[in-house]
Amino acid sequence: MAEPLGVLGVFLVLLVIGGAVFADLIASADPNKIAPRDRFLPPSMGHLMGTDQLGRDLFARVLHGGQIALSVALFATAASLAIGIVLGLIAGYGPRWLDNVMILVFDALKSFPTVMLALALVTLFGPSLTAVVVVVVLVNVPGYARIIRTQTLALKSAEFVTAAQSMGASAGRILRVHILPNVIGPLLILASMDIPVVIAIEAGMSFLGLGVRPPTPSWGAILNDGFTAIRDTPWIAVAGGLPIVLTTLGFTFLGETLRDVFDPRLKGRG
Amino acid sequence: MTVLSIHNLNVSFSTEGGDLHALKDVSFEVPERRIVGIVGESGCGKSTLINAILGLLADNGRISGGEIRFQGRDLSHVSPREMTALRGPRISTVFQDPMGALNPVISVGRQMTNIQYRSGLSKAEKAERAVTMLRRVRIPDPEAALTRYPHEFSGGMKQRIAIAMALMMEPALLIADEPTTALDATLEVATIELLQELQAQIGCSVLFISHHLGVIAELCEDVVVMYAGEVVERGTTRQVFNNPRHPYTERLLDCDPARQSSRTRHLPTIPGEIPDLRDRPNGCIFAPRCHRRAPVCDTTPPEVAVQEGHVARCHMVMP
Amino acid sequence: MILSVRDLQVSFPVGRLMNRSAILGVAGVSFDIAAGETFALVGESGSGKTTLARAVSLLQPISAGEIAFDGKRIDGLRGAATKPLRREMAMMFQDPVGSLSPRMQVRDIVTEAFRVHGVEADLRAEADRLLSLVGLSGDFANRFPHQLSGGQARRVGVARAIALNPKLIIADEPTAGLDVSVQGEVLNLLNDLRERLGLAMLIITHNLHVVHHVADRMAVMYLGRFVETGETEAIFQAPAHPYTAALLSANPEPDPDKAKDRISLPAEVPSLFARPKGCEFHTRCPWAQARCKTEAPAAQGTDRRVACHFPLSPGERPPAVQETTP
Repeated sequence: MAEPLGVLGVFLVLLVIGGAVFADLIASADPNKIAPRDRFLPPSMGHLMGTDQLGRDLFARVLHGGQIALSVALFATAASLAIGIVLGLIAGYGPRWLDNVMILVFDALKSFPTVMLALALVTLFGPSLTAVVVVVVLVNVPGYARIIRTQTLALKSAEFVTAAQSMGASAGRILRVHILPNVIGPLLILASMDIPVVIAIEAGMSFLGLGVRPPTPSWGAILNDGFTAIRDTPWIAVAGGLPIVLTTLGFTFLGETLRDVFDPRLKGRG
Repeated sequence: MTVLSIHNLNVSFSTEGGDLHALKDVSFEVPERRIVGIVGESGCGKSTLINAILGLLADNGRISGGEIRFQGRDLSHVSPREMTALRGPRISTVFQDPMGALNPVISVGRQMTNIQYRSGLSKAEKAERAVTMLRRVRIPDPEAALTRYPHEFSGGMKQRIAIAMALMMEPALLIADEPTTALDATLEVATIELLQELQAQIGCSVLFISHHLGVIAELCEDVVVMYAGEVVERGTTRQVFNNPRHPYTERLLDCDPARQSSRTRHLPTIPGEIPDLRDRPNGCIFAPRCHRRAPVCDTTPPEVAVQEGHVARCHMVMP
Repeated sequence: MILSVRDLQVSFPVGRLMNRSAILGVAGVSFDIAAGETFALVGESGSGKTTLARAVSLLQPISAGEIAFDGKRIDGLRGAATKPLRREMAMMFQDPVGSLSPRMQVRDIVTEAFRVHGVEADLRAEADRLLSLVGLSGDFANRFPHQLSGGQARRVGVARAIALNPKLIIADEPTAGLDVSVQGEVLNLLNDLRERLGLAMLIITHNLHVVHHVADRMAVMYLGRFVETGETEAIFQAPAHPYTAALLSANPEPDPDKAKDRISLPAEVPSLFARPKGCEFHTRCPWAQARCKTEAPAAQGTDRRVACHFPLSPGERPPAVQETTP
């Protein structure tokens, strides 16, 4: 473990996760409690990050915002992986025409700018976490499916797959037992490196008002609140932006270190 | 004159699990105009030996003792630039996979003229030389072949092109590393006959590595038998194959199905495996699998001269 | 008869849209394998032997002909209908380590057939039994394929093939990639198991010496057809087809003093896109005559079949050739 960035990454990620999980223990204040008399207070012992335009304690809002960010990130990533893997396996192993159709759909999806997708979906679902999750899934699935599809195609003609076919194994069994374990590794690392992107999508959508509805304390929403008041009360924007930066850096360092740790071992194996 | 002289060569690799002593006290000679075969199975060290000769050992490998003399010069102390100058014109190589020598995106003619870059000939002369060489290895329609790409040729033809490229500059030494192992039987013999013909015409020496005993018997005048990084027996092919003295050589010859002239339901094998070379025993490296093992085999075996030129490294050999 | 094949053809479509055509990988092949018998398919690259093996095991669709297994027609079977057949017919593949699933332990690899076919059994005990049958100790059960040597991986392949007591094993190049000192292990094992379990075997190989020791009967393939079929011993003593004779002479023995009585063939095999007229071997045959260039020979004989207008007599040497300088 001679990777300083990796260690830093682990530290930051644990910090964010710890803050989110133990939010109620660490910050005694209610993140949604409005206190008009305590508006725009700068950071102090009572309010570690200050208060916002409605007098709400920013520190508590940030920690609870972490819960939202992480749960969206994990849930949306898990959903993207599940869907992407299934579609990729089918595209790679199934008949040629099905593969062609699916590639067309993936490429079409990928060509949509994220913001446009977000806007389109918000008209369907209204601004909400659901919209955020659906946007993340639609953005990630084509890439994940493509990777799995390519790997599956390569393994389709491997001798151990032919051996399983000659034994009478069904396509489902072959995909599940023989192909999936051998293609999933690199994808997991890639997905973990995408988590900062997912968090950024959620924050971005909430910033634009397309994500969580007030008063839910998403980091992006806090950033939006602080944006207009940035001249006089900059700490609000800092409270919103700082966790995004730290989380993004943390996951990126962690993911890259994981990738470096696994790659040479993969090459040296067998 | 001796073209290649290997004397007490030792090669080691530094690995996670310790120092791997891949070649131990390897000694043999390749005289001028002679075809010398190296016989050995997986793990015997043949690839390490070739890489050491060509100066192509991996980063974690080093020559830990002994010398490699090419035309009198010690190659282990030659600079990488000088080594590059030697590889190609003086020492050339043919590999098991012809695609090791052939660039898939450059035409055959271009590749064959490229390797003549030190010759000082004109472009037309280089092309002429390439055509002559292709004709010598019996590529049909050699002029047209110059413009074609490697993938347009069959496996056997690609190997012949690789041989043509290797011999075009008339090297002093040709190293052939399992060149026919991937070829079918009829193709293999055609390639062997071709090599013999060319060697006689050009007068180079050949170091021929193979685990195919029949081919070695047919092609090579001298043979070196390797096991687990050591030379266990060497001599002329006739001496070693007709009168094998090292137990490994004996058993190896026994195991070759071609040796069993009548049908048998039970083929001989050599039980056991090569030992871990990070932990070489003090005594004979073959002892654990040897059918003639005795207590004395726990000490380093001497090289015993069986006959003039025929040597076996074994305690149990009577001179 | 365990396996009966009649006039089998396998063709591969080539080209797209406007200029579609097809090449014949297997051009009409017939043979039988009796229960307990070992039959060898011998040929070089491009001979069609692997295609034939895959066609017989229904991994490759056929374009004409019939295949019968244990008396029942199987060539028309598709999809799920082939499953029961796969218990009776097991395959062993060329790449010993590559034919084993890289992330599965040996224990799971050898007992996979039980799971695929829903056979109730104590899988751990079965794994141990199968491993000991092939001469591997119990602690191999925990290993992964990359931790096995070539010989060990081959034996795992054998164990996997015999798991559900098939009637026929199809072995594709069982000694490929193995050192000479280890080849005997696999062949001895196969012979052993044949006797113990009464297996029939179809062995695909280009190694004639292996054939000699293991096969009762053999067929020599060239460009997708059988050129000679019969008892191994008889063919080795006196090959009747020129190609067989050339193949036999092309496998040098490790004996430097042996007189070289090689029958040399021009090295290039004709492409399947441009099959020669008449007898397809005539372009390389040292004995070729005028008739061979125009008329394809029909296979003659019953137990011993040869497709040649002028089958060789024992020990016959090729006619003296005019040396033309290249």
